[in-house]
Amino acid sequence: MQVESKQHRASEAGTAGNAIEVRGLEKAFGDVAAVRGLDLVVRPGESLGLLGPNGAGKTTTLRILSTLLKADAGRVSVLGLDPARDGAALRKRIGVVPQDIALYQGLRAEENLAFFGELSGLRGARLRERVEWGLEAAGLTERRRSLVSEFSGGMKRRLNLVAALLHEPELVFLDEPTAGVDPQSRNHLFEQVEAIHRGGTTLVYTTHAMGEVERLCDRIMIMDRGRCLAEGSLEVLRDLEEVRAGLGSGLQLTPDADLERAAAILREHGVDAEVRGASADLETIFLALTGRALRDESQEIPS
Amino acid sequence: MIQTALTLLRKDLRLFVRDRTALFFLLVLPIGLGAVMGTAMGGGMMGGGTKSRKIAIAIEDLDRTPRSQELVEAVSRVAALRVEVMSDVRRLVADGDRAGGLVIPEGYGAALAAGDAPPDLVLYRDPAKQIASQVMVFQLSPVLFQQTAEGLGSRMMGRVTDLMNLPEASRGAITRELVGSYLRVEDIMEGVEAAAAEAATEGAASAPVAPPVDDLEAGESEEEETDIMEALPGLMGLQIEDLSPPRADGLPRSAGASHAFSAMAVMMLLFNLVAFAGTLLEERAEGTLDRLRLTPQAGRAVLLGKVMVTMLLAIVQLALLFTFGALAFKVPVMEHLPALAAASFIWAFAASALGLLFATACRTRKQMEGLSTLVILVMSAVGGAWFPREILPEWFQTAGLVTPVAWAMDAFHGILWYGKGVLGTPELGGVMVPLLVLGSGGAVMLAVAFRLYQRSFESS
Repeated sequence: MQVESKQHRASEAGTAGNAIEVRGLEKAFGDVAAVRGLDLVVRPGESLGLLGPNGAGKTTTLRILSTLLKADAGRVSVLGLDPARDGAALRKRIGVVPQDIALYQGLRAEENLAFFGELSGLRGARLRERVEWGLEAAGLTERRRSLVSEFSGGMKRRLNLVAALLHEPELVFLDEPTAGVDPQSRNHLFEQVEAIHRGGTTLVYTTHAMGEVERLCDRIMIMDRGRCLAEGSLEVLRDLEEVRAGLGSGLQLTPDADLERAAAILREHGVDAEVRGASADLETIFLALTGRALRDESQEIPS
Repeated sequence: MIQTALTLLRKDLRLFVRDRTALFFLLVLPIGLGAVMGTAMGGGMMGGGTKSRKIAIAIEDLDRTPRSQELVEAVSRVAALRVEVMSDVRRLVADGDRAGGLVIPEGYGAALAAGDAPPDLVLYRDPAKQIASQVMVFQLSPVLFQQTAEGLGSRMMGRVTDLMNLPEASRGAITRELVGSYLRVEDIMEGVEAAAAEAATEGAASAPVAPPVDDLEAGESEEEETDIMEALPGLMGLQIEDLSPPRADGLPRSAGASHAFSAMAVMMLLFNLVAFAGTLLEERAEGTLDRLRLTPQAGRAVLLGKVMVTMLLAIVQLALLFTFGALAFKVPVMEHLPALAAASFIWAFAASALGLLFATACRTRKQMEGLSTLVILVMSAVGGAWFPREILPEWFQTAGLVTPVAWAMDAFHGILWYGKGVLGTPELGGVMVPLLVLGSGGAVMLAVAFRLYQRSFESS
């Protein structure tokens, strides 16, 4: 099966020096298997988009990679360290932008940054310098003395992002960093993420916003029910058999479809239409792979 | 409009019945506390009564004769008293270990055998345990009266008639009424009243005339009535000594104020610290706990930081409370400041550990609030923060020792009322034992909290 071969290819690509290398990762919560035999490789400086419907196992995977959760089975290496064993050393080198606004609402913007900066090991002039950077990057220099509780959702998201970047991590996990913000704030956040990626930082980005992944990520992994369904660049995903099969019976056709044949079929059915070639977008690919059935939110894995 | 109101009512009822914490406070908490309070105050469950409610009294028999032994046995037969034959009972009472201690002096048996008035028995009482000591005198009275009547009859009559200022002519009638088989104090009083009435109706012309009993009851001569009540133990050959600990500054001690501030220090601190420890659950719910755990330097320091801040808040609260007590109620805070500081520190530690134990054992803040409210209130009732432990049923008193509240009350009340230091002196015990229990108990609770934190906070 083509999906498996892609997955296998990705696994084989893993060599020493990879930013992330995961083999046979397993994690269950009681009877619910959250991650089932996941293989994953992320190269240094790469940005990987991790997609999947609710309950796919994305957040569980991120929590294991970022030292918050221990795996049941499998081998995990992040920046050459074992998250379960070398947690403290690894945390100095990674940053995590959580899905929730994980800030102290009763503290000022600069107090939040100074607090997290200090816990990240920054001190003295370096700490002050990074706090200034954070406030500026978040566009909150003028509001530095305002309580976070007084901020809009977008302002909180921006601060939430930079709080994870103060110690200049080599690898950043971003878990839906733009959820629920206005277009201006989303664009601002996105520019910040792009800037750190251009600076050579490795990114693992989970989101439901396909456009963000298309814009930012070098590679995409689509997960569902704890497994990797497909993995590769957008072009590779478009070429998958499953995607083509999922799209072929409708009016949407893959780029290399026989357009003339398609037009002939339509005419046979009484439809006189112009048939043009068009690329399937990521959302189409996603739905083709994961299906259109609604997911039961209550079965989501605890985070 | 009514229809709208009914729609709103249905919505609120649905929300309410689905809120387990609200249901807990509405249904379980009052019933649970009612059961505890009812049992504590004497109502046995299912009509079980108060069989186990006994006041402990220490008896020191310095006489060691068959007559003194008879007295000990007679007191032992009093259903409401639990007799413990011990030595050095004065110190036990002074230390607060017993509410009262009866000393049978040497020569007691010999005097009774010779038909003489025996030397007075001495009852040491702890004024801080007022209810227990009053019950004790009341329960002892018939026994003492019976045991000593034969030797004390004439002496008692003399005291009664003197107190009543009765005319010589009526004293014979009073004696006839009293001497005999009265076993209860109330009977004695009835006898006195009847004799006084008889004297009045006999129209004894010679002055002075005793005031009618009705006047006494109406409060015209309350002082005299009080004199009689206070004199009754003396009539029975019982000398009462209340062991009110002296204060270095010469001010009188207030057992009530000492108990109140000790109780506040114990109970309110628990509520505040548990509430504060609950911020751990809030942080988990809001995601900041994960963010802390993701920083290189947080790790286990997260919980340690919580312990330290809860302890600091506790110490500030205790300092404010005791300062207010010293200024407004003259609670002797400065008398044993090092001991009070040590007790405050150790209690702050134990209470913080308990708070964190609640926080790490519960999944949500609401769950913790319900559970902790019930546990703290029950512990406070059983541990003596609401009322003295010695008036509770025996099994309640024993159960109280399992709670940190009982040991904390012992420590604070020991310092503020009994004037104890950390270490004991030949005259007075110290609060070392309760402090050790609290400290080690706090360490155990903290260790469990750390373990629970690892299991439920670091692995999810």
